[in-house]
Amino acid sequence: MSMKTSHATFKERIDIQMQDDYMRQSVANAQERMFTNRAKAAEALGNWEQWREMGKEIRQHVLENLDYYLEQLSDKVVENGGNVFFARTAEEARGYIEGVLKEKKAKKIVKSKSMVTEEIDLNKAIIGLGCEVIETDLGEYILQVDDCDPPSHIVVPALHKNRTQIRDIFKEKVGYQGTNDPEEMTRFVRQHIRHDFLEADIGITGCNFAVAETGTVSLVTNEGNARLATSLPKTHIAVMGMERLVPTFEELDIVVSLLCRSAVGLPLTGYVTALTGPRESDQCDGPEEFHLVIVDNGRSAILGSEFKDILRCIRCAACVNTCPAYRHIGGQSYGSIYSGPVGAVLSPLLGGYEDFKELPYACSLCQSCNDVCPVKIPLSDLLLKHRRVMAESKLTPLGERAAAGVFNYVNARPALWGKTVKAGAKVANATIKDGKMPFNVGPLRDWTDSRDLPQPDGESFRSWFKNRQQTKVAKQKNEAGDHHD
Amino acid sequence: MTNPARLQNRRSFLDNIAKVLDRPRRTQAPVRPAFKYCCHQEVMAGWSPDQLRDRLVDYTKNALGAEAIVTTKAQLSRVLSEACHAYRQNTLSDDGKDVVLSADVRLQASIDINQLTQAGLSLYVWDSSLGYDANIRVCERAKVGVVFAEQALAESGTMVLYSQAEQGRVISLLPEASVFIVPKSAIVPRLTQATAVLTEKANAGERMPSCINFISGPSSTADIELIKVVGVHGPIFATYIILDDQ
Repeated sequence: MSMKTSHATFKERIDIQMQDDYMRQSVANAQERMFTNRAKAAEALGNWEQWREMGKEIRQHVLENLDYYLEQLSDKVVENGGNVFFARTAEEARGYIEGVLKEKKAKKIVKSKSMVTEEIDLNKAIIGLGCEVIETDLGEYILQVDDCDPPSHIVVPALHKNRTQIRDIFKEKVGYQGTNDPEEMTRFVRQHIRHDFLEADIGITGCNFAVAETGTVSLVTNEGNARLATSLPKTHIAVMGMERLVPTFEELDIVVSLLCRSAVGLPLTGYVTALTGPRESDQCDGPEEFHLVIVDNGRSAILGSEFKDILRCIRCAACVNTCPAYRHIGGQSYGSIYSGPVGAVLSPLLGGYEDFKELPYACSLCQSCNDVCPVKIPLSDLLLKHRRVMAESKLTPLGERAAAGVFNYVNARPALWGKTVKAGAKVANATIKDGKMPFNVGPLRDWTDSRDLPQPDGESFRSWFKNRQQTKVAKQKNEAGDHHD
Repeated sequence: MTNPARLQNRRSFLDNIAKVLDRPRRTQAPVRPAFKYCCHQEVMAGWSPDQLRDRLVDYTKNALGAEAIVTTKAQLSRVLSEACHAYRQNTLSDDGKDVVLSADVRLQASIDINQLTQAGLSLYVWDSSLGYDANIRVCERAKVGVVFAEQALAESGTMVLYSQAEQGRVISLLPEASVFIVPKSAIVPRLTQATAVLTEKANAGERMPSCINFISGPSSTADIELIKVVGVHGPIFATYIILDDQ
């Protein structure tokens, strides 16, 4: 899976997704539950605003001093016996990892959930070498088995599938014979891929936060698959986005606490694992070799831009879980591995406006995402910035720019404006019948597909308002006159 | 002096970051701004050891679906043997050793191996000198892994484990059930106190243990319809035994 998950247009994707009643219901229910859990967890902790402020400041400080902390981190990893590769691009990252796989003569690779490895399309490269790669997080496993169906949520990737669909996929692809009970299916996967962990040559993980001072990579998980992938194979490769680090364990406390409460509504997830280099020489389990791949892939361009606040993101998906646009169109409509508000900001930056120009418009500017973000990223402001950048660089549709140009011209000339709105009101009155127009084009069609237009009364708002004021004044005069009598 | 082959592409990568930040490379440690608030230190501040223990037990039973037992050193071997027996009946397969014990000196000093053996349990004590294969083979088939925790976090029902030669990572990972033993005196409010210990170690120039785990209950998932299922790739069952040492 690369950043881009679909070749269909944004409208085609939405049309498909909006037909999927199960997906829509399940997304709505899931949002409700995750939103409530997060709110309860924030409330239970108390002083949530203070926590958010601390989270923001920590992340901000790291971004301002990123070169220093990455240098410290990499020095420490090497000092602990590990290897570090700095990758400017996805190609460089893949190339290095391919090199390690070849050197180790690896045949089987187990992976735990990692967005950045999706972003750099790592699995395709691994398969290209003739190796087997197994996604071991249950949600990712379901998607991989289902012919690499794209994820619909950054924390719960298979959210769009129900238990019966999952049973059918398992039945068809991996010989599952049981019922659609989630527990039974989960136990089946446990048994089914346990041998893969034991046989794997290499474990690949992401990195939630690295700790610069100690050269540590931390993983925030629940299922135990990341622990297996970093305990059994002889080699561990961790891939991290270059901004995902904190100075010391003191800051790790704050950001991990914010992440767990915001993502799943718990004080901590089942496992928070802090890994430092390869195993010590007197220990017998854990990897003998450790590689850290630090990925830029467009992040430095963001760091130097007006969008740099998005690099504070800790990938909790709280914004996704509160977004009304996500609720209606579902995660796969975004056509990116990153969905929801964070996806709408990040995808055009990492993947380009060409492929993701519609995403900043998948937003009603309700600002709910700003309110829940644990590191106070002004997500809706960044979406507006995207719209402005696209308009200024003429990336918006010609028709839209022409319409805005005409509007600006007319709006700047009061006399013309007055005539235009009066004429418009008359035209609307003559053409709208029973809430529909005889011709439906552009945004008008989308509107009348699901709603009726209001029945106009042949009057512009301004003339209606003026008349109303006059009537009111006349009425008041009359009333005053009555009193005098 | 670092080995260049183990550190690749760094200079150009970091120079580019300095360039986009529109300033020279930062090579001196920046002053870390002091935290503006101390809300993380205020959680359960001033609680007594008994209050912290009660909170840990309560959260573990009610939120994590795990067991928590408070006992004394005199009773520990009996309690441990009962817990292991319970899992012996519950677990999915019935071949292999029953119990893998960590060789941690604090654990070994707290239990009576003979008493466990006499209770009918077949035991294996972790031995890193035997190497990876021998230890993994036993752990993979064992029903219970018993480990000693450095700390416990009352807020989240969490056991803190450091990897060490005497206590491998997989003891609390491969067997279907995990039993954690922690002294009451090691129960702290939250992650803040655990990371403070690690920061102290770092300041003293110590290498971090290669694997530090914060474990809250058995493994779980909610990837199918957001329904919580306990027991995925890690252990399916967990018991915390709290040693009343104060």
